Amino acid sequence: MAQVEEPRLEDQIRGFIVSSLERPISISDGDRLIDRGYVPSMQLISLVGFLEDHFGVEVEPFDVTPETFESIATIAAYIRDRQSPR
Amino acid sequence: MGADDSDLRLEGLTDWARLFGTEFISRDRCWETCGGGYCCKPFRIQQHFAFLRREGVELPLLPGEYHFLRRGGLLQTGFEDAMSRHEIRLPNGLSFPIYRTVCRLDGICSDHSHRPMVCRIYPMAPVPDLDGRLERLEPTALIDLHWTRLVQGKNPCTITTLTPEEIDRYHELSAELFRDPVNIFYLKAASLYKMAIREGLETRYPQLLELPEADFFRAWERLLVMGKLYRTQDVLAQLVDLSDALSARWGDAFSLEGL
Repeated sequence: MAQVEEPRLEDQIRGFIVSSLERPISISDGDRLIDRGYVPSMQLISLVGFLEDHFGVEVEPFDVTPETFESIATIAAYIRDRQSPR
Repeated sequence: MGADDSDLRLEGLTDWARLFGTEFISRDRCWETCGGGYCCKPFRIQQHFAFLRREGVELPLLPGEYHFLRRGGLLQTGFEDAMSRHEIRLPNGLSFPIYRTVCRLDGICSDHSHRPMVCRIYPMAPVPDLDGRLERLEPTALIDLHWTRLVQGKNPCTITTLTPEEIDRYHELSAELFRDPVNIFYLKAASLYKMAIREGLETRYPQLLELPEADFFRAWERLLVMGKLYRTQDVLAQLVDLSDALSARWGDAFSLEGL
């Protein structure tokens, strides 16, 4: 039986962001999410909830900076760091 | 292109032209006393924020309001993030949109008479009961949930003091808004979120209320944006109950579809 490959972490984050936009938009890993309006600042609440529920990490409020949420790539890097054994 | 019936249907049962043709709360040059202009450009407290927008003010629009403004050509979109629409998904499978605009003394805020409803009713928001009667007034802005306590009644913003005539106008405004059960849903939902934020702060982080303004808002913003002030699932469950209650009360007149 063919093995189903888990989507890239970046693609899962992108899927969540795009699904909540009014119309489908192509967002690259490096696009600036908040500056370009893909994630309005109050929408960060939903995004953080998605990251915690979907990837099983706890986003510590005093452990992140705005740069953490700058792009899909920076969010994915943060998630990988939180998932890695400490 | 003229408006067709479907355009008008999207605006719902409220007479938006009447609401936008009425000045409910307005003071001369109020922005000079309200921390740098609460609605139309950044205000003083934003300097303490790291995550929330600092170069403009992000404001919600009611769905009918959004469609009214769009039909009238009043939603100028000269910049990339001028408008956004996001879906909130409920556990029962329903969803509803949140429309937002950004005011920076341009776009919809470039003409004071076109400013969004949330600005026009500032400082108070009407909260309806399920039947569409005015239940109470509460602070419009999230920061005012705490700001009024922090300044201990010394708020310099001239527009926060209401006259009896202005309170009468809130009743007039409410009657027009609450004709549409969709607006009842949105205004009660906003109130639920605000209540969750206020109670979350007071029960989980009461020590923050002792901090000086700058430290308070730095911490408050992080806890808010990271979803730590309240449990999102609890609020969503309350929204499902609200939606069910409005469906039972209003029948087919209430629907969150196609907004």
